[in-house]
Amino acid sequence: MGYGLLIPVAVIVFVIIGVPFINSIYLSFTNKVVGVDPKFIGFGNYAHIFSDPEYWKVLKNTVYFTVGSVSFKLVIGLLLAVVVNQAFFGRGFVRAILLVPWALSGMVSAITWRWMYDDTYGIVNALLMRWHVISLPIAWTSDPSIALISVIIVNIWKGLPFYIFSFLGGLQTIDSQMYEAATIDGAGKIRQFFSITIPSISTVISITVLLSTIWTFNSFEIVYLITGGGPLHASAIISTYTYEVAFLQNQMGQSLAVAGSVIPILVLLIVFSMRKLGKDD
Amino acid sequence: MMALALAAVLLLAGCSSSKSNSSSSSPAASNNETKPADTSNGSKEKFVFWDKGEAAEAYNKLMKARVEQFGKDNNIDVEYVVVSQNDLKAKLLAAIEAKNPPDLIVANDPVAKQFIESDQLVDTSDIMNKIDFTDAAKNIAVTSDKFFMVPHSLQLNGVFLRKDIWDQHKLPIPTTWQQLYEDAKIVNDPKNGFYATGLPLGASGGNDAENMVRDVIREYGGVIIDKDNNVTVNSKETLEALKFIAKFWQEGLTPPASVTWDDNGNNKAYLAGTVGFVINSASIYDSLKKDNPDLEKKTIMVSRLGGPIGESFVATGNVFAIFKNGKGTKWAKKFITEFYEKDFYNNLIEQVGGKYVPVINGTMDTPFWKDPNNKAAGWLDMTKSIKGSGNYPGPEDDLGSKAQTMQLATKAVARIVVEKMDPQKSLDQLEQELKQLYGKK
Amino acid sequence: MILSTRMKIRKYAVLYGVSVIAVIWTLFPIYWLVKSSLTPNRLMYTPKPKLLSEQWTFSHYQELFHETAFMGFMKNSMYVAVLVTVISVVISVLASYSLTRLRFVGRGFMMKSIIYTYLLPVAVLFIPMYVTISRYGLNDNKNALLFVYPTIVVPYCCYMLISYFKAIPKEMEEAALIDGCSRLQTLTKIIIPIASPGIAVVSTFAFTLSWNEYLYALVLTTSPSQQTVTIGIASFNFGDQTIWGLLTSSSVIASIPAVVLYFLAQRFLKSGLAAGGVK
Repeated sequence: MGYGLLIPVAVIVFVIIGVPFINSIYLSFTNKVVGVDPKFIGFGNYAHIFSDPEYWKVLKNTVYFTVGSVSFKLVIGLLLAVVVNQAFFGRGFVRAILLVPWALSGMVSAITWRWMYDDTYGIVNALLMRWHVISLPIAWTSDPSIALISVIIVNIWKGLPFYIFSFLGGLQTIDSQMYEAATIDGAGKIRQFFSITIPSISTVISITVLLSTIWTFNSFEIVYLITGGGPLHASAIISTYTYEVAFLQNQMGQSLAVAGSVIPILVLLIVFSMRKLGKDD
Repeated sequence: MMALALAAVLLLAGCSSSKSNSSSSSPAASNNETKPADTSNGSKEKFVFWDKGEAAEAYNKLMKARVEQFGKDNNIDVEYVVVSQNDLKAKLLAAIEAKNPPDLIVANDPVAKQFIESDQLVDTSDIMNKIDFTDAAKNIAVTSDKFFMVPHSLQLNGVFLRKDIWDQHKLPIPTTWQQLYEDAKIVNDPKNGFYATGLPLGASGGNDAENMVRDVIREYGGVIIDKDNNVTVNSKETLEALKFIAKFWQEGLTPPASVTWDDNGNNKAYLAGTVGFVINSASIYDSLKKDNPDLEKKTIMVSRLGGPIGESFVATGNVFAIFKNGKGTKWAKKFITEFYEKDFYNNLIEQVGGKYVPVINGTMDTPFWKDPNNKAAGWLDMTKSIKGSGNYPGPEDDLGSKAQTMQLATKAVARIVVEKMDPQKSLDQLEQELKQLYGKK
Repeated sequence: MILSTRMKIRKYAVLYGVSVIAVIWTLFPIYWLVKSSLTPNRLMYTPKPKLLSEQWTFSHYQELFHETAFMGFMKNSMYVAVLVTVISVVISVLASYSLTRLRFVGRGFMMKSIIYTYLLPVAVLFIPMYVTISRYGLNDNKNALLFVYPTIVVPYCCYMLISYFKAIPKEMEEAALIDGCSRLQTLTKIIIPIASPGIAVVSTFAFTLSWNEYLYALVLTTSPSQQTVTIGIASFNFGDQTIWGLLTSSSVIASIPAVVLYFLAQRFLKSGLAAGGVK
């Protein structure tokens, strides 16, 4: 019976996604160009990309993008979850609003932010200039030192609700008596936060961070539609770079090698967090 | 209870989806078989056409009607689909890989050219011989002396300039790049949100940036690839050209965002009134007429700028391409052959409002092109001085168009602007990249 | 807890202060999108945009509804999103139940494998996926999405439901089994009702993801009769020209179903988007 119930999921994991997955990995060891039969070339693609400074630049960006997005989402998400877990008038309204970005598509978010970020007719610069915060427009999407930060901001905006509502669920399982006891013992709010709140929801935090890290690492639309990875790959991440190699440069095999090369990183991440989660299994 | 309900819904869903599978997938399924024919709708053959989406709605409507009529006349099923140029390549590659491409597409010429290398396109010499194409048009369809495409329309770019601003500073209309640069320094006013020029330098797809950079290189006497297919880019002239273009960013004469613009960027910036000069197809003119007549009055459309060695126009445009693995290639050929019927073709081009320029001889004598109020027609004399296509003077081939779509020249300028790389070093890198690309063959 | 008035004031000042900032930050881009969709073309592109438009218009919406095939895309998306949600939730419930309640060989392996389906980005996976799909004759068919979208939805649903199911005391189920209920009955009569907040959460998630997906929909469907709403939005962006009024108004309309769904599911969502919050 156990197997019977698992069949549909097994089909999805091992057939629908498994076959293209294995195929992709195989093709990353070939000189595959679309429309032409592949020829096995061993580690040729991998050797090529590892010797390409652009690849390392993109990989570094991906790490910054992921770590930056995830850590800000984590901290702000925790803060906001604690806030909307308190009882105050209008709480329901605030909760409802905070959820909205999660319901929007990546495409709509990207279109909107790109429009706002424009250096000459975007609202962000218009407001900052009107308030005399800046005197010259900021090139949000095209200054190489800002572009990556700009897409991280959008990723935080879009992904924050997932954190808030994951943590909120965790917070509600905490027994309020624990806080009362701690207050009697003389523990301050901040100490309570670190000695009660965080440990109580650590499982929720781990799962949230794990899922979100994988999604952020592989996210595509926000970066691709806002900066296109530019200028000169200053904001490119692995997923947009694979798309570029596959579709602008027509190198399918190489593109799959780029995607394949980061799998070990993700696997390590999963194994590590699974081990942590497995403890309370 | 709930699960039962869910299970019931699932069953229903299963039924309904499998039902609609069998009905709607039959034509698609037949594409996978080698023999079409025996589908449920009888043994009609099918013609699948992915056309370019055009902002001027009339274009796609006229084309759709034409294709449907074509289907009726020949008693075949037709599938006319509009695919945005931005998405075309991803979709085509997937379809080619599954050996299920459309029979016919319309695409920008460098995009279509890339499918020659992987031997996907049908030789179109017979059509090229049958129809009286202009020399300029032939340029965009030829590849290594062979034809694997058929010109559909030329898409020329002209200059859109804010006459009011130039008048304000009592400046004459610039005719050379150098003059534009001098003017730009005068009219530039970024503090008030106005940049003299809107030059594109985005490198994530699109043609505008690469076309502009290559134009300037040529007009400064640089030769990227010579007639015999040698990489001759590393010259004093190219270096001058790269340095010159970079100045527009280094001196803040163009909005910084243009480094990541797509082909839309200059269009939008001009319509917003934040730039005083753009190079674009006549599509801007359409938007201006419709939505911003004030700005239209302040706008002048002129022919393009020249460099130290004068003007060097090359053609870009749209082409038909027929895919070998399509099942209805003979219908594709027939459709193209009948496409240039005078009344239909002229009307089609005119509906697009001057953004498209006809590709066959003797079609520019219509009232539309002679109307003195049609500003778009003004700079179309350019067609006469077109020398070649994007890779000029190098031979047009798949490597040339690959170098174009990879935007190698754009990136060379971007390195100087964005990474503040030494121009000569950037040029050396461009040479190396080109040699690597060409060396493979 | 007894707080002094001063502490209370300070507490509410912080709560409201943070809330107001968070709400403005969240809503501003959405406001800007909606505002743009109500701005006439003439004022759409302006060098120094103002927070409030000088003039409002519904013309973009009228054009969207009357002159484009947009509502057809909406229907397709509804069809795909509802069915994917139902399919994904049902199979995730079954799998999660089996993974938490039954012991069998390969259980641990299966649990691990599910999350590994997220390893490759869709940006490279969609070509091999397209080849597989077209082998079954499902290209240019929205039903292909019913097979593909569960691959991005189900791993999340399973993880979520597994943690919900784990939190349900085994004793309740054992009692039911002794009473003569079958395994299936314990699932439908005990587990599912208790885990219903979790099921609501994964359903909204599944719906949103299928509703908003772009890349797979782009390559797997071609005819307007099969395409979904994200493709409809993208179609207002032509290589060198964007019909900005239609792009923004279609974005607004396309966002409504998922947003409404989230409002309706609010009371379940507070029990957590990741991992069960069953007390």
